[in-house]
Amino acid sequence: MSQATILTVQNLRKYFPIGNGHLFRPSDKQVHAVDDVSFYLEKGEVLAVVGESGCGKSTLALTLLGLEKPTAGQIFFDGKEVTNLNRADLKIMRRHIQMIFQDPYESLNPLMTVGEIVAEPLVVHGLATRKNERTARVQKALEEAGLNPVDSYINRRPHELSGGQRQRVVIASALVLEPSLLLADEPVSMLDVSIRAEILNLLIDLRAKRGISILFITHDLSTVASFADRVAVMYLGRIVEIGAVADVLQDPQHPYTKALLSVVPVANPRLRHERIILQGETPNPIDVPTGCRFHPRCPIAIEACQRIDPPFVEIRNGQRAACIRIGEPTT
Amino acid sequence: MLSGLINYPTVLTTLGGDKMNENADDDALILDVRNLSVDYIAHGRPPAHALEKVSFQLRKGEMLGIVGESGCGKTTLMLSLMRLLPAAGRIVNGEINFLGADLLNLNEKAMADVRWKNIAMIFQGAMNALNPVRTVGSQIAEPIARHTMNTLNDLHPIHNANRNGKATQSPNGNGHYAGKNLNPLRTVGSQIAETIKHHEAISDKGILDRRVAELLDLVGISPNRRDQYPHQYSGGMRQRAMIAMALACFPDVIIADEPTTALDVMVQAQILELLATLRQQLGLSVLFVTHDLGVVAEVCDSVMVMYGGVVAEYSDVDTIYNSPQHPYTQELLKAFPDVAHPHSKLTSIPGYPPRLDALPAGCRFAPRCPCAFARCHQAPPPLYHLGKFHEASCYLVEKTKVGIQE
Repeated sequence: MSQATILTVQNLRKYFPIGNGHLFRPSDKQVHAVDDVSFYLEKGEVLAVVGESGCGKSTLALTLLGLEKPTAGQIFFDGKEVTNLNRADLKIMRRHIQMIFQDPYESLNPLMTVGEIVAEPLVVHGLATRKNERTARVQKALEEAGLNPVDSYINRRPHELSGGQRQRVVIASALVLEPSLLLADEPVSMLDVSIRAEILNLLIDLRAKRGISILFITHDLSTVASFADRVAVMYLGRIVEIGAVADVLQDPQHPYTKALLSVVPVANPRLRHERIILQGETPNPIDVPTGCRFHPRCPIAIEACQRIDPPFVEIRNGQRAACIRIGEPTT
Repeated sequence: MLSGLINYPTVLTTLGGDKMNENADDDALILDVRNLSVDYIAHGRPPAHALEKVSFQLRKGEMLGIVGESGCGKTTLMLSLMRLLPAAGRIVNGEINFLGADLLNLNEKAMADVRWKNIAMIFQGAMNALNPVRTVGSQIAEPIARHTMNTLNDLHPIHNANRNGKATQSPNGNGHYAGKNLNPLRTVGSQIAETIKHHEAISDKGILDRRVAELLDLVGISPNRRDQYPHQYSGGMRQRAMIAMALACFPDVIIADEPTTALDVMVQAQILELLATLRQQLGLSVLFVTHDLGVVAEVCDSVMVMYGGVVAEYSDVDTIYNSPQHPYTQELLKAFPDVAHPHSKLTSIPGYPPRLDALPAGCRFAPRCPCAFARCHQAPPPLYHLGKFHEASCYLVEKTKVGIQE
């Protein structure tokens, strides 16, 4: 673990028991939401976690925040282990890790003004108790989130704001604690394309100005292309491929990454290409397929894939993919 | 069943007999909207011009993408086509010629028969559009029961050669449920629940069951899942069920309102593939409404870009993406992330679409336009014809125009 690493996750697992068993003989079945996930995030880096609904990417974020207790594995934040903190320590840690949620229409309290919403984290954490100090921090956060001039926004309520402005308020209330890590769970998927660009650009600027690290969770590879440094592709609770964005997008190795990439809509009819459309949806994570968990939907699966749980294969400078068919001559 | 053939009330032919001949040279023309303008009226305020002089054509088997940001009039346009505008909405001008007859001249009873039988809609948010307390199969059966089929031929579109003729496309006059609108402000589910009592009106349950099974099969859902409830379906399957409902009466036109917006990319790809297949199999014409330019580029033949209630640019898909003339089209394309070029900076369009009750005096896009000059702020530009099938409303194209829409 180098000095420059802000977050390290080792063999993280999060299983949820399912309650269909008898009251005194609980079911031993479990949902394998996150299943042996390891990665690191450097200071000032943007790592995108990509996958379909149900691949465990949101559970991963909740576990990192300590909102879910991990079943196994370790999480290191800023050099310290934070896997199983008590409530008081968790609260301190959460000053430094903030989350941006998906839906700016539902994550703001409609009865509070923008100023009150952004000040609330300070109140919760008992920071900046003097009034003028608190106002100054709120103003700075709103400015950083691009809500200028601040005075025209601070007394408004969420219903007076557009979707893009609301998402900026959500970002401002995350920034007010001056966190070093942002967990952004699909922060633009509810927004129009033109506003999407605005919010993504804001996150890019924040990283450039404040050196903030961002874990960006999304199902859309096209938003990843514009600003992440590295990307991790998740399938059924596992990372199947990870590497620098340029490497993964231009030369994907895992058949799942290839399929995901092929279905990203390209805004040019001349570039219509064959799409690898996987049938069905992510299988349920209760009965995880044997061997490679992608084999039932994989277009290139062979018999061995049902038996062998593929290890990671190193491709190039940090790009790794878990598929036993990598390196075979392509037909 | 066959007696229905004789009873065909010829609503379309009686109302639009002359108009039909006008379009005789273009048999494939299904929907011809001309100069459609819609106002929203509020007490004590000037009317909001939600749509102004919108014209477009939809041909048999064509998929037309209607693109724009939220608040640019896409939804108003769709609701106008179905004549389902909220009470404050008024169609103040224009024609909606559907197979030769102006839908705006139909009485409410005739219009109710056009809806779903001839023009059906796939709603946004498949999660909320189905009734949670009824099985999917029974919800698909509902529109079939409502618009009782007249002939056995109607039971299968592919084997039904008659559907190409205009006569059989007339809405039938079965008046049992006439006058009953689909309310755009409520979920389809709740409205469907209301009409459940009419199910008994179907004389032959066997035929109904077979149709539902066929429809489910058509959209790739195993027919033995018909008796399940929506919560037992995944998001993609619910969207498939919505498509099955829209297809229930084998309509000529399907209006798809952001049908894939809430879905994962892989499921989105599955749904787009399904729509493309159905279009080919059934010769459906589709109005595809979305803000996602990528999806439009993948599936549509032609594109109409809307801004602030007017047509900004309208052309075939290749022209829109490869030689867009309106600055709004150009800016929208720049805001779209491109997987082929990682780390290219996205440009956003500063500002917001105009409020419809306080429209700028000139071009509606002028306040946000990077190319705007003095004239743009004074008077709105007309829609210039730039070629056989290319229109743009921008003064910048004035020199290259070949004509102006009257």
